[in-house]
Amino acid sequence: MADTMEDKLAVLDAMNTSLGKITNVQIRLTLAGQTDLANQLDVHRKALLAQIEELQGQVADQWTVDAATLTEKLREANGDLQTRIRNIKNNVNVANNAVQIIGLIDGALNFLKAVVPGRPDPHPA
Amino acid sequence: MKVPLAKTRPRVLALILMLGVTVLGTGCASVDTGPFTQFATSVQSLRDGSDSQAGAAATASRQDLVEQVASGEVSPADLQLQFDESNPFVTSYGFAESEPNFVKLIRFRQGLAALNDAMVSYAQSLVLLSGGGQGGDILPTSAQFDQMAQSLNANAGTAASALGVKIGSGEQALLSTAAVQLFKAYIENKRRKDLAQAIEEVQPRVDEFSLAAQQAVHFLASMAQTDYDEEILPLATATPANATPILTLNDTTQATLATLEALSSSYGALPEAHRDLKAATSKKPGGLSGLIALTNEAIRLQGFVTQLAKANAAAAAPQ
Repeated sequence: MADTMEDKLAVLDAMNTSLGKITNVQIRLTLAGQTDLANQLDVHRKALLAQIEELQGQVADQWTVDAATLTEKLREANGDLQTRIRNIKNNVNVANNAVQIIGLIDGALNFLKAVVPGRPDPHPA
Repeated sequence: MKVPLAKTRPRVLALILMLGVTVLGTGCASVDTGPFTQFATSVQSLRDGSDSQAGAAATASRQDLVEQVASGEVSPADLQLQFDESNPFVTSYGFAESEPNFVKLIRFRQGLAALNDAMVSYAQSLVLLSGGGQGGDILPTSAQFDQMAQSLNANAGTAASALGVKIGSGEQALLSTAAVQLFKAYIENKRRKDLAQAIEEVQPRVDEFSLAAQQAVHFLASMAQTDYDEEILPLATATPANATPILTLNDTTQATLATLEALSSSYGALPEAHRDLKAATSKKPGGLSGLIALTNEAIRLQGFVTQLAKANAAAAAPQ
């Protein structure tokens, strides 16, 4: 991406520099009353402008396509990060659940003791 | 079931000791969320700044087309939308020789916004993982961890007595408190490692992002230059000569280029700032120079955006 895009941007810079110089000459010719010469120059100036706009359109299109690929890669990276966050949250949840489960077993055992009084120990030492 | 406590206690203590050594070896203090928040805020500024500039370029291009149609350079027939034969939802400027640039620039703006949005989302996920999310840390607070330890003690104590296991209250507390504290430290350590690993893995993408975004800004500067050369001609050749509109155009153009230059510098500072985040996870001594540079560039950008808004307001005022 870099080479082609950088090349096109460098060409655009050079074309813009030319446009600036031609525009200044055209302004000076117009102000000096050299209308014919100014008009002749204007034809070339507009042709250059059309070329610049053509290239700008190409650059915008190419950049947009390249950026879409990069955007997708960044979204994938963000997805991985979200997975890491979820995993850490899950780890905490596992601990919390363990605490809850012990509480549940505790409750169940107390309930069993209440409904089966004097129940013999199923696992004698 | 009676558990032979004499056998299990040394094993549990050995396990706790091993976990403790692992955790202490890598440190267990919380990650400083400041640098991550700073990074995310700067990235958000870049997103807003670049979108406003791309929007301005698209608007200027549209206005250019309106003027070309008014002067007869472009036929209004070229503006008629052509509907796709096989898909009624799809249209194009198919009657024109080529698609108008403003349409390409609208797509460019959307692409730039999507790219920046992806970076903003990533930066916000980093904030979340570091513990600085708006909804609070993803990990329980110390108080919540303590509560978990107390619950575990109480539950385990009652369950043990229900099962017929005789454990002294001091031993129960020692076991569960230490385990939960170590678990807390382990999770914190895991968070630190995950952050460092993610930053390292994503670094090449951030480098690519920085380059692509700088190219986009370079392109916008090129558009501004072309627009200037188009606009200066009628102003400079108007009679009677009037410097005011020319100077206003100069002010607006210079403010735009200064904003774009600040944007480009900010995007250029992004990779180093991202590298600094890895250092922030390990709390190594030393300043986060890349992050400071990015923050300063983002602040500078805000200043130029304000100046540009003033220049635009002055240009819109009657001359």
